[in-house]
Amino acid sequence: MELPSRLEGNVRVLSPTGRIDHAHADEFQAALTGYLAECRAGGVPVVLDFAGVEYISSVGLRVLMLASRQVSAQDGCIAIAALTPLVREVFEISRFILVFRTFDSVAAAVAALAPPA
Amino acid sequence: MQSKLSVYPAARQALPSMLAAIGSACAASAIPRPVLLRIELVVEELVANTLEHGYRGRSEDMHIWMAVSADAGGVCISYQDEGPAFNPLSAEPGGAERAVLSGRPGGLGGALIGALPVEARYERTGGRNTLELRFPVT
Repeated sequence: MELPSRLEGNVRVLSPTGRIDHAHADEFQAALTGYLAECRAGGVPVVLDFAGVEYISSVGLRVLMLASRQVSAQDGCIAIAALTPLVREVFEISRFILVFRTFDSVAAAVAALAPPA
Repeated sequence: MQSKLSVYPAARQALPSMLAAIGSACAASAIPRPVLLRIELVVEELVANTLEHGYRGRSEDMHIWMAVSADAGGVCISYQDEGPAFNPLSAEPGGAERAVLSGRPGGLGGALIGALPVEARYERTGGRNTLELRFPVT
């Protein structure tokens, strides 16, 4: 799975696309892992831009759960932005909104996670 | 909208074939993509549940059965497995929240069926769990 990355200020924005399902969850996890190490206290916060993710199943949620745990253990900050309708439903039904901070837009997420100047 | 059950091996590798059958039926009846995605999600979660909890890793020589049919009014899915009797529609309220807070998101199939606009009926017949689902197109 391609995981385009860009820096907005000191915030890493990662933009997966397509489906995070039984066929792609492992690839997503492998692609994400490299960015999580720097997502620690004093490091680079991560925003997952989900505008291009149209589908996520529980195997994808488990990848996010592991990422959340790792970042939390490192005292880092991670958030998800721009959920598409089905993904938002999945987050609400699964109560995953209790695990991740979610924002309507990448801009709002970046503003919230950006370290103070 | 009756169609014949197809048999699939009890393995995640069966999912592409199952989703392809759903995709073909939906395409033939011009089912909107948001409805298709919801059906795919429910079926993926049902298969995961069958493999993880129903067959508990002993899926060799076991099977999953599915039939799909569609018309302009909606899509019908018949899903069967031969695991111990289990009604995925009987998910406890709050189960999804407890699962996610415990660090193991699960039970999503039953929770989705309960939360989405899906008509669902479960019965145990002939040693199989049978779930009849209808996803209406509104």
